Amino acid sequence: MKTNFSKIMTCGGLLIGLFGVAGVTFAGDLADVKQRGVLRHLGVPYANFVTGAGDGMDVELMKGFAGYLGVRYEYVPTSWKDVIGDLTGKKVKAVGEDIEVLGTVPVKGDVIANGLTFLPWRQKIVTYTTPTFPTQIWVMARADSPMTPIQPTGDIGRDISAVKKQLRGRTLLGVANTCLEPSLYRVAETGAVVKMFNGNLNELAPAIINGDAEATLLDVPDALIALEKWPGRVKVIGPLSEEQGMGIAFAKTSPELLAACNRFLDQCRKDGVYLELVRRYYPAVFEYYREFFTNDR
Amino acid sequence: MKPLPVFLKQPKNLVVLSAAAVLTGYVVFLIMANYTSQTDLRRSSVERFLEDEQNLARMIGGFFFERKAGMADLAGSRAIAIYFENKALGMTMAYGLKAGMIGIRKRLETFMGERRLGNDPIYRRILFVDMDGKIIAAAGEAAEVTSEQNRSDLLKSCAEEPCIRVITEGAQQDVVMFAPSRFKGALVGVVAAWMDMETIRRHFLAPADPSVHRRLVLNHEKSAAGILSGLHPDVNILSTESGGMDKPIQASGKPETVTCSAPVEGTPFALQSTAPASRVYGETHPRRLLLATAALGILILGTTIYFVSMNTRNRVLQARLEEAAGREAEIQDKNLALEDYRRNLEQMVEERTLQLKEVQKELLQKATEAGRAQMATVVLHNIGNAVTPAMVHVEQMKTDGLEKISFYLNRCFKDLKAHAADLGGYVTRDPRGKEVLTYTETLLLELEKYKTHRLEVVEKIASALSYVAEILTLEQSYGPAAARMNETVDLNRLMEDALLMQAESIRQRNIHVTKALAAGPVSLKIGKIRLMQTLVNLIRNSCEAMDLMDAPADGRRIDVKTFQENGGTGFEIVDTGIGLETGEAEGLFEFGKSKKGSSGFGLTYCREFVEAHKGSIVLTSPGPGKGTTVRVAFPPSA
Repeated sequence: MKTNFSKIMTCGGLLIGLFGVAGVTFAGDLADVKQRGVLRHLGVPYANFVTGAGDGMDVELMKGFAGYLGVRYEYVPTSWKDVIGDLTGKKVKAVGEDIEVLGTVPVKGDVIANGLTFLPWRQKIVTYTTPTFPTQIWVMARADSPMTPIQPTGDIGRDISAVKKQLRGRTLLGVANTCLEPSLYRVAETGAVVKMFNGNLNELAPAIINGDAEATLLDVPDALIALEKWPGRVKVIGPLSEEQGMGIAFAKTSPELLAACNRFLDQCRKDGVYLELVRRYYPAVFEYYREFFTNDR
Repeated sequence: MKPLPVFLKQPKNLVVLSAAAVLTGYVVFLIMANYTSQTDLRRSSVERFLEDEQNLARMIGGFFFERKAGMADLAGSRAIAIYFENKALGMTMAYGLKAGMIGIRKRLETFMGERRLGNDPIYRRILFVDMDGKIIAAAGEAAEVTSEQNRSDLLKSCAEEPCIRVITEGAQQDVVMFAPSRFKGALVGVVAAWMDMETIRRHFLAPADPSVHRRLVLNHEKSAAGILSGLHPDVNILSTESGGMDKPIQASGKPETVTCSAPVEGTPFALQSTAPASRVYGETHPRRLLLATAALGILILGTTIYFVSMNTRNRVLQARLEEAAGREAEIQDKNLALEDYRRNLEQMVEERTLQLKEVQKELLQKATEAGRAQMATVVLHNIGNAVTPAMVHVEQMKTDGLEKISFYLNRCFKDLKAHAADLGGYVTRDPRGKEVLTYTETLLLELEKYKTHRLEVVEKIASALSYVAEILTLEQSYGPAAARMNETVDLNRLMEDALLMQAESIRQRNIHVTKALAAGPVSLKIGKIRLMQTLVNLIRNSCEAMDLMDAPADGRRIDVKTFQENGGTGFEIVDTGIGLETGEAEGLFEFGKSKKGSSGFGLTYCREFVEAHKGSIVLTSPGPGKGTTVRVAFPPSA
């Protein structure tokens, strides 16, 4: 009954949203971007995708894409909470794998390139390029936590189960509207005490070191950085999801811009620019996801 | 007692002989000292060769010591500790432990990149191996080189401190440095670094002298430093043959090479160096040097005596050479001065030539003016000659008998008037009257005669005036107004005019002139005035040549002729004057030369004028008193 109610609410929200956005500016498609002469890159400082210091793997990719289009590059800072609305003009809320449109907001950018994980609810409001980066959700705990890293079995499903068994009664940090949203992985069913973290994703590891929680959800790129920054103070317990992909997101009203970006990414993969960027910002990722980059030069 | 030889009785010879003996002794002493030094030098050279190699072995030992220290630092690095910390936390390679492994690999790569000798890498490969013999991280060359068994043995042998081992894998020998790594006091692995021996060879074993060959050999016996082979029999130093420096090497014969060995402390190696014996001992044996030096000493002594004897002569020669050089320098100075003088002289000649040209030009101008003045004088003279008789006639006309006739006619008229009443009777009867008619007839006749005379006088005056007018016309035609420009003239006409201008002079000298002028006009494009001056000059010269000799009246002759030959034109004036001496003719054309005591410029002027028109002027004479011929000819273009 509750499920039916949610679906009704979601569909209603979608209708309200569709009508509500009438008259609201859409994210520009390719012609608009070229006419405007600027590509607006929506980004949230996150891992080494957008470092917040003016660089990052996705920042460099988008600068290259702007050059590819022959327009100027502009970085538009946003937040995980607002990033979808800033792209689509719709303020939405994830409801399981669906979304609920809450209203309209001004469009501020043309593209999200921020290590944005493919999630079912996101795919209902934005379109992704081909996957640009592999990821997975891990549970990371403080070093002195009684939780122990699992022994890999070679079966991802059994590994996930082993991790979830250890979550019962543990406090676990998650971040709403991101790939670290605990509900996406049915964490509540494990008996873990979920705490939603309102800070930057980069601060999750320091948060558990500081005792805000015993463990946190982290995607692999961020976990690798945490292990590098705080060695011996955190530990990886194990996976909470299967392997995922990240990509660059566009509003569904920008199909030509999306196609242009896919062409640009193909070119980067062929000429080695893409692999060079990965080596520079995530040299360790090849040890974990070598297959993902097999076809790249 | 045997008496001294005669030459020794002279003190000077005795001194020289004594000095020679002392010098010879001194040379012998030097040769022996040199021989002793050479022998010592051979020994010290061998010792130095050994010492140099020992120093190099120490340097290589220091290098390996530093490498060990670096390896110890690497084995205890934080990156390795992090890996084991994560491992201790239970993390697995699948979920997180790889990050630590990557950290170790980065550290190994950094270490490899930083450790270099100049630009050459010290290590080829570095591995971190855990206690299970599993390679955790690797940098550099990736090939597997050691078997599991080898790794296990090595881990045991290097458990306490860094060590150096030579690993043999088939035909391949590698020098590998090991450093144990500990985590919380327990041995957890080993860092193994494969050394790049090419770098070590290039920096330590490649000598500046390519004849020396060095190598590192395994030195399990730990022998002391010493000469292994090649010690010369007569070089007395202690050396080693299989350890220790207590036995001299009993070498025999002449060695080709010398080999020494020096252990490299802290390593299993010894530095073994081989050099050509000639490099260590020198090319020549001291005995040979002794013989050569002795021969040289004798040669020097003999040469010295010879040179002393030659010295005086050389000094004289040197003095002469210096004197000659001084003279040569003096001559060169004088030559330079002469050269300067010559240059100045040339300049002075040029300046004087220029001045002379100016003076000549000025004289030419003056001569032209003088000629013109002369012509004017001639004209005036001619006019005077014409005017004087006219004046005489005028005076005659003033004083002739017209008044007397008039007086008598008046008396006749008065008689007739007195007898007017009986004029018929008076003239028919009166005797006086009868005479009146006769007298009147006589007066009329006188009057007629006077009239005729008057007419003659008037004609003479008119003739004189006509002559004056003609002369004036002539003067005008040759006057300054005609300027100096070239114009076409008739040479015949000019010759006639020139003779006319000189007519009075010719007449006074009672000279007979004959003319043989070419038929028709003889045209010539030339300076008319100057040609006239030339003609007048030459005719006057001919006239004056008559004055210089007392020739009979019938022998005074001037023959002029004009001619046209082969397209050219010219004239010739032949006189019967004083003539010329042989060879005198050419000199007369020079300025200042004259037979009659004048400036001598006339003929100079004539020649310059003729040559200026590319013509020729030639004076010839059969001899003194036999007259002179002047011939002037102009080319067709003139």
